[in-house]
Amino acid sequence: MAMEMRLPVARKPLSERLGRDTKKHLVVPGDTITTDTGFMRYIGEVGDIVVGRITERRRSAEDELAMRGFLQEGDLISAEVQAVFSDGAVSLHTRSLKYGKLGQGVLVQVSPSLVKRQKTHFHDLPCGASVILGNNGFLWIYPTPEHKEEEAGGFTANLEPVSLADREVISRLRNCIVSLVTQRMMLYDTSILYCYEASLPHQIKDILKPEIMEEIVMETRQRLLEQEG
Amino acid sequence: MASVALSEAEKVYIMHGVQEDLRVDGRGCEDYRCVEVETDVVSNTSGSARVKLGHTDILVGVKAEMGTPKLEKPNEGYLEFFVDCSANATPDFEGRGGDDLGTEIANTLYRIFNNKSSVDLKTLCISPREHCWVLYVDVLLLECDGNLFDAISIAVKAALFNTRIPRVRVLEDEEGSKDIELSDDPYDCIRLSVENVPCIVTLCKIGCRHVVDATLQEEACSLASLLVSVTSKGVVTCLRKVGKGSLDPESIFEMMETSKRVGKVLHASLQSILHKEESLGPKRQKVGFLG
Repeated sequence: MAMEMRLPVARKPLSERLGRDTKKHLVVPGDTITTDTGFMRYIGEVGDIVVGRITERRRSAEDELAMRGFLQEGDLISAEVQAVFSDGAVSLHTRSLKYGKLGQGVLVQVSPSLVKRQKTHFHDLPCGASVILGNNGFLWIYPTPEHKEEEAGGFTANLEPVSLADREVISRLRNCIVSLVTQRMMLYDTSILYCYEASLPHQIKDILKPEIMEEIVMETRQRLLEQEG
Repeated sequence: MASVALSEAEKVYIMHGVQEDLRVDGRGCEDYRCVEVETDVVSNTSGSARVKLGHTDILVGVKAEMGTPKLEKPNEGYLEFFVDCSANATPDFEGRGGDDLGTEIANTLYRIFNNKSSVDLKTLCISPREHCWVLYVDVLLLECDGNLFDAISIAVKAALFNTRIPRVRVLEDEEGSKDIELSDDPYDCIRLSVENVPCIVTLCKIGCRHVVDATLQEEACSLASLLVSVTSKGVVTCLRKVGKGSLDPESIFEMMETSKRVGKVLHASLQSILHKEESLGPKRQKVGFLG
């Protein structure tokens, strides 16, 4: 059994941690600070992939007969944005076998502005698990299905126990994503993979300790800079 | 209690993980998340503490005021608990939503302190039948991420450790009227011994195993939990079962043994961190809420 108690440490401001010069910008009332909508709630665009949880559903007669067998309240689905309404509501479709109900796995909720826009949001990582990076900030980590026909979709969930090795990979990925988010790094397949590889020397539950988290993310940041340069 | 919605497949994943002693964040069934403790965070209280257990954030303030002893216990002071579930913690607590949970937690705190050995109440007596110290313990829930009872009991113990009650003298003159004199030195105070103050260990039953320090998702998969109040010597002072599921007597026995083991380590870590913080002295850098 492990128990660790510590005294709190003052957080250093982000600009100091990254070594950028800290010019203090003084503002007065009436100034516009930013027009970037990244930090606000998720605003959908057509073609975005989202992961969502069913909270409420329409109760018409045909709905009861048809859909309740497949989808219940509380279920997670992956879908694509079909249309955006003027009030911000989005309409989704699952008209492809790669979308649909999600089976066993782990959901991580992050700020939507941290998910990088890429060509594809479904990734099969070489470490042995797959992720869906929803543009709305909902990330789904799940064991890679063995057969190509059983995609993360369709409407029947597989409830067989997941092997211990897969679980370790999934837990490690989840902790790596949480540490990247704490350090405000953009999330995409390469950054998550580099962070996973940097975390391998440590135990899974140690990744969330503040000093180890900083070390791992620092290494990830360096590797990403080297790769770009 | 605040809860999250989970799909069936997610619950199955969590339950199978617990059977194999590998939870979603990589912990074992008896591992706690990282705990941060800081005392003396609120300046106009007699004692205060803030505890962060994962994302669960609790603030406790203790105020010592003079009052009259209770009729049945004329030589003792007493403690009063009040728990405020702030609407900041989760949207469920908006308006009066948090009141039920607050009353439940306050009643649990009254139960675990309702015995002779937890706090020596005789030290709180000033003059029998007339004056005594009443400690008002206020608990504020700032953020809720599962395992509220454990975090609250740790914070209450830390706040009581930090409490400084001014030393008073009772002067009696010839006519028999009494006068209470406060000591001139602001640092002359009495402190409570918190050696026997118990802490709560919550054990949630998931499948056929039980876990310590459950997150909100794990609490949603558990049908029955046991709240065990344990002292630093491993003595169980109070036991309470929550949840709509049922528990086997054998499971209850196993869970009690686990809680005694876990409780001893919890108390030892808390004692050492509180002494470490005190040894840093009054010049230590306080982090508080702006850090």
